[in-house]
Amino acid sequence: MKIPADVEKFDELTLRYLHGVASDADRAELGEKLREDEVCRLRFILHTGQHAMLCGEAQAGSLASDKVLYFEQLAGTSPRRSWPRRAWLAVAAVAATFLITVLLLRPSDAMAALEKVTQVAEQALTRCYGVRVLEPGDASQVPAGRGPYPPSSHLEGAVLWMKGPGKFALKQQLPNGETRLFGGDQEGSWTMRGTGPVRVSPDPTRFGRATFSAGGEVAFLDVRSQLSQIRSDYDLSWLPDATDGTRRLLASRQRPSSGGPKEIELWFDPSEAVLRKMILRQLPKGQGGPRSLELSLLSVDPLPDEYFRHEYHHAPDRPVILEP
Amino acid sequence: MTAPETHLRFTRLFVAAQPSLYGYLMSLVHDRQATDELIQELAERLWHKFPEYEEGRPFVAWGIGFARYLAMEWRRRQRRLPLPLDQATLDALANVAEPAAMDNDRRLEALRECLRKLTDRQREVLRLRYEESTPVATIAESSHRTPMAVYKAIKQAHLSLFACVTKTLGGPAT
Repeated sequence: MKIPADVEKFDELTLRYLHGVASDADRAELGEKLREDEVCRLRFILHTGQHAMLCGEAQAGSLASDKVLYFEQLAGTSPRRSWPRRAWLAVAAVAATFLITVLLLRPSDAMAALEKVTQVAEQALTRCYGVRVLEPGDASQVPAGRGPYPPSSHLEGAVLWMKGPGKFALKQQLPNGETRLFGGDQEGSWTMRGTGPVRVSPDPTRFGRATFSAGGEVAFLDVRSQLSQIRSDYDLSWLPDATDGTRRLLASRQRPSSGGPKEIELWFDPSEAVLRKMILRQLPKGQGGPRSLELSLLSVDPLPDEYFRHEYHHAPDRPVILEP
Repeated sequence: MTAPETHLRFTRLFVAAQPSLYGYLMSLVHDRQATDELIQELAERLWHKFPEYEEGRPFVAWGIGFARYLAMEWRRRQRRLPLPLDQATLDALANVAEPAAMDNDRRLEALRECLRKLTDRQREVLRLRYEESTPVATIAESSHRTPMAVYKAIKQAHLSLFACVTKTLGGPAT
């Protein structure tokens, strides 16, 4: 393989670009080199190829701290993907701690009320929420390359089903008339769009991440995590009850640097502590997703666990692509 | 071939070809989320065209034709691109990317071997960057470092891997 004349400079420009830290001048210079030099083009392709491989490998767990498990897995000697399960066990332990805390506290203050809501969110009840975008994001803020239909740009009218810890399904209508459905449980996640194949990952956060990334687009997928974050990063205060007696808690972010929405309003009925409404205001900018949105409880009709598996939603002969 | 057999055959071929096709798309669109979307669109397109697929033809080579079209379409649809390239340069890149995609399996195998040789710190910075596709600025903020310091750590790990893969495959020192 031939090496470009100023290989260090070329690598620097390429990697700055791939990692989003290139200046306009860097990009212009990179474009120029790609236009002029075939050797640069090959090296660029090899760098982007490695970038793509690292995306896949990271997703498969090769960079996880328990990498030994991963390499054993490659050799076929170990059960697949034990680290997400460990993570879920850790979450279950936290949930159990919450439960004990709730039993010890009288639900008379805001924090205790929040913990009761969290406890109820842990129960294996089905909840179905409608999503409304209260304040859309700036479309020009959507970073280039988010695909034709970035999930966070099509949340108006979406429907979210959740059951207990981790089970979720979200349906959204796309401008081309197709429906995108994605969901998952502790065992993995999946997505399907239109009549295309179903993509399935053993990573519970793989699909939906683009919409609900912890990095701040819309972090409401896992209500439990959201509520835990409220507990640690937000100040709580009561708002006047709604006219129907629904209690309202306002969570205000303590520090701008902690990320997440600036304010979260939680509506729940005082007897059952089921979350009836969640309003997220001033979500982080920069991804082009909505600035404010509302989840409203539509139904608590029970759904079987199978509803959160992809097989429930498609014909048996539809192609299923399993990701590593 | 019965419908379930066709389905199984397609799935096997696509899964085997997916890393190569993913890498090919990434080399033309340069963005992970866009590539994630496009690979799904590509799977859908290939499934519908599968009756026209000739047995025995390399599946990656067959898929690359569709992938190229989708990537070019995608670029045309974007209001703005972080790296605008003229059509001649794009075509030249796509031409180089094609044989690279055909060689992807060998490089991937080498990369997996080379990942074992990274230091814990290198692996950790790559994990932070790639596992959730976290922007450099976000990693910098949460780790109380400057974006350029984080970027340099990522660059160092990337170049170590690149040199290791090249050496493993018998290429010249980089």
